[in-house]
Amino acid sequence: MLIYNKQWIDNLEIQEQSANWLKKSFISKEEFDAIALKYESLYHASNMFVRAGMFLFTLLIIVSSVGLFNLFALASNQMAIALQSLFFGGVYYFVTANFVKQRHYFRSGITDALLYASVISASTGVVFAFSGNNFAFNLDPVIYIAAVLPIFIFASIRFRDAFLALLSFIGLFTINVLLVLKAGTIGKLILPFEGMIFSFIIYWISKSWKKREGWHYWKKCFSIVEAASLVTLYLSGNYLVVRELSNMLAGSFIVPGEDIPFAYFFYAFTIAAPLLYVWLGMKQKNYMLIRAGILLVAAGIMSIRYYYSILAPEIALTVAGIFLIAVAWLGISYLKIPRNGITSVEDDDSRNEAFEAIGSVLVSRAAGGTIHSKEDNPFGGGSSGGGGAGSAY
Amino acid sequence: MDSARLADKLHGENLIDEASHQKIIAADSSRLFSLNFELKSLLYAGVLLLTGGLGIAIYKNIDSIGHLAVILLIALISAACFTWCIMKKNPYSNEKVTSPNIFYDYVLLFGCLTTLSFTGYLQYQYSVFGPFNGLAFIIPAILFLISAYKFDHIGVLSIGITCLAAFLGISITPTSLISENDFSSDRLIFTGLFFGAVLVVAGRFFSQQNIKKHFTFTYYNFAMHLLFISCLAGLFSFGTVILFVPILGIIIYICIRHSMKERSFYFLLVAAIYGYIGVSYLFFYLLSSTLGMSILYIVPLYLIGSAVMMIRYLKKYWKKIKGNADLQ
Repeated sequence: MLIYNKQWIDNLEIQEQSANWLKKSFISKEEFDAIALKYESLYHASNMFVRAGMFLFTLLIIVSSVGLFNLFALASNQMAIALQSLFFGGVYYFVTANFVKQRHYFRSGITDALLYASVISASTGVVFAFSGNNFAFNLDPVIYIAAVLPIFIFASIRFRDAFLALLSFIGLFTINVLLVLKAGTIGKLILPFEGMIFSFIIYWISKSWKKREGWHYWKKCFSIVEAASLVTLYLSGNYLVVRELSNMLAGSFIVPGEDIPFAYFFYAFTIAAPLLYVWLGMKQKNYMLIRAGILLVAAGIMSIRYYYSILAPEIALTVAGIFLIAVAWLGISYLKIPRNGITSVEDDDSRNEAFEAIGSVLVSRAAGGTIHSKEDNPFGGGSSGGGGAGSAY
Repeated sequence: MDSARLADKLHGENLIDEASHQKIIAADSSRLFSLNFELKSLLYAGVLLLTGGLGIAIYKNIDSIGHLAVILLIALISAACFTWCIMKKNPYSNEKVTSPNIFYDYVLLFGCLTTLSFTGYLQYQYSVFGPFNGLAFIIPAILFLISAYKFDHIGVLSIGITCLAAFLGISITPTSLISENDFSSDRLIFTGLFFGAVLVVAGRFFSQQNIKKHFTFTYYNFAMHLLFISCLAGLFSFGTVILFVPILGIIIYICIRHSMKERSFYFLLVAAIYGYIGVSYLFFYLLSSTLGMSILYIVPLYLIGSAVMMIRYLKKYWKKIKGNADLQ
């Protein structure tokens, strides 16, 4: 099913792992060369910026080609648009597959752009073909999503593309929600619980499939679906989401003094579920669970505050800031000595350059705010601001 | 495959010797699950929330607290932060100096941000610097630039450069570089070019003197974006081709040379994108008057052809950069 050469992917991974050992001088240069010779791969390690540049310029080529084509053959008829889109989808796919098979492109921005263009184009074609003779698109949305979903799933499996896997999951979840809502009042009532169960099943499936023998090639796809299903699991029971959604669907507003059914369950879930994520993440040593948990705790507190803001904003900010600093302080000092294999000391492998980049941008935003609040500058030219780009490229 | 199993396998195939095998196994079994990143992020968020919260609280209660008390409080906080950092800091070296502990970087940052508030407040409320508003930027800018070297902090260096730019009247936050500057004024464009050149020279000077070489990227990164945007703005708003095209060429040339030297594809890519925009603009600027309707066909053809060329060119340079890396 995979379009790439599995042997080469494995070998590239071995090479990358060995390069890491070489960097830490666990192995000698000769040993590394011997490994690279034995486990040779026609695929190459990629660079983020190369990939981004290739992606950008390939996209430019694709868009210009479509533009040029339409100068000669402008399609205005529904069927013509559908056919043209399907045709282009096929062409892009053919070119992508050809690049991968003949020229051994791997993690390349060129194939990324072509693949996405192919999927989008083919999906557009399918949607136009399904919508029949007018541009109104008045069919049930479930039909459209269900019609294009196979394209996304196929492409994400064949090219092991994590982004397409994420979109496939979102499509699947949306279909599930729309179908449940078709069950009328009962559907609306059970939707939060059904959403949680559905998300959990997907989470469980993708977690166990990731471990299957020979399925590690799709590791990233499974990981991203895992993360996304954790988020949808939480959102299904989040108080704000449930309340606003039930308002929207029922078309009526909750009057003061009244609350949604099972309100206390949802209050508890909104705060407790993310904490459970963090706890489970520490137990299983799973970064994804911990990070999702931390972010969702914040989201949970803000959702409750949206309805019940007891403290004035400045007090809330100050208290939250002190609380976070205290938690971080305690965590850092408590875990200085490793406990249960968890430490607060920096680890070379997890050293995150992205953090430094994000950090610098945040700093510059904060400084920008400070400088900004002041009066005009000496020359009266452009207005002032602060900060600077990241330090970690 | 995890690291230990791979090591076993390679050892079994006699690709790595016993000593290396032992090293890998030992490192793998003693490997810990580090929450460093998560805890640091919490700390970071905490500092930002606290600063924000206190800021709003002061703003709301200024009548009851009084300006003098607030200014004194801010000065006290900032002085306390700097004093603590001076006490804790590791001895200075021209090389990269590690932080004595996790909190150090944040305390220093907090101190710098409060210093900025302090001078700003003084000027806003009491006009301490009189008509010389710029002093409210240049004084902290100098303080930050010195602190950046003394305490070895890239974030402080960034704030220092930003303040210096603000003193000259340019805004160089990533989010405000284009939106908040009025690039149709020639004064701003030439100030931008001048300040960018100063940053390049400064970065080059310090790196040649082997002083804090890890700061070089920050200098060059600020400089590159500022120079390119000023130059393109000059090209677009004045159309003084004869002046700005050579400047654009020089900047691109410097970027390519630097990226080859440092084997950094980032500079090459940024130069390629800005350069592509400049050249494409020039192409249509020169041709738009002569082509008439046929431009509808020329535009996509040009874009396709030029993008293909750009891909080829980027690929070629990427191979060159990688080739250099292999030689090392």
